[in-house]
Amino acid sequence: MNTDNINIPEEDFNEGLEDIEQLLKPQCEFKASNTLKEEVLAQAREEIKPRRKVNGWPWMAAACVVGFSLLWFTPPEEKKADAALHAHLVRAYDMEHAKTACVSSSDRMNTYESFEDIERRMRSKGEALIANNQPITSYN
Amino acid sequence: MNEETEQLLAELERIVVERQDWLFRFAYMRIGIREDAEDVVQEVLLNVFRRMLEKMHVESVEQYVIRSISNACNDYFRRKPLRMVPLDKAEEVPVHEGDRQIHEEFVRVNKLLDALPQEQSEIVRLKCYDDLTFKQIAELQDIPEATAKSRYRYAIMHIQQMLKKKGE
Repeated sequence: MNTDNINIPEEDFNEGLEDIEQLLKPQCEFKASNTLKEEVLAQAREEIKPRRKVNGWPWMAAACVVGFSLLWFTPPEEKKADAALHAHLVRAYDMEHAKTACVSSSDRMNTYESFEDIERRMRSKGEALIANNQPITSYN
Repeated sequence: MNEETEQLLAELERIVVERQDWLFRFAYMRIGIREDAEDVVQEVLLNVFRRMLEKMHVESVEQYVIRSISNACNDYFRRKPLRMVPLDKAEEVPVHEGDRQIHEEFVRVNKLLDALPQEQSEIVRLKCYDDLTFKQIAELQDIPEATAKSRYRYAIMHIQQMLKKKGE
């Protein structure tokens, strides 16, 4: 029920108003504890006590520098794997190459000789043989 | 401690001395337990001090204190609804011998206002018991002054009728 704008006859209201108000007024004294004031002031003093200030920003800055340095100098994982793979392939190629070369030049087991050298050597040997053994018949 | 904080502490002490009993009565008449009422008062006074420290502009310290204690009591019931003292059990609440008189007063006034809607009983409490003006009540309750007056008149009429019925 909205009672905010009810018209109450003045005479009804005034009749006994003072009695009711008197009835609702404090009939005794309310006293807060004696310690209340001391406690409030003690807590207030506690709140304004200067606290030791810890300057955190230099440590934060140092941590950031270290972090950036680590990021900067650490090679990416992909590059590491690439480098390892490359080294492995080079080693495998060299070994394969050496083995092939050795097989091709069995008389030089302990020397590493490239295919081109072997080919050149064989070609010159072949040419020398051709030059020494002229064909007997001609097709003319 | 510098001179400014010394002045603030002196100002706080003045407010505590002047207002602590009024604030305690305000809180006790709503809470009904001395320890809790004093805790609420302490918190309100420390909030006033924090405001002063932050140099926040408080138009009227008086009005700020009244609003703070009212809000603190409302918060108390929101936080601890189980600690509300039911009126029919209020007389059984154990109190120190020194507090018997104020506890009886708490029971007496709350019994008178118990039958009223909460919005009316609070205005009667603020007007008669806490001795606030209608202007202060209107500001505190965020209602027009005319509404505060109207609610008060209706509440008084209600109490008159109730007392008449009891007399018959």
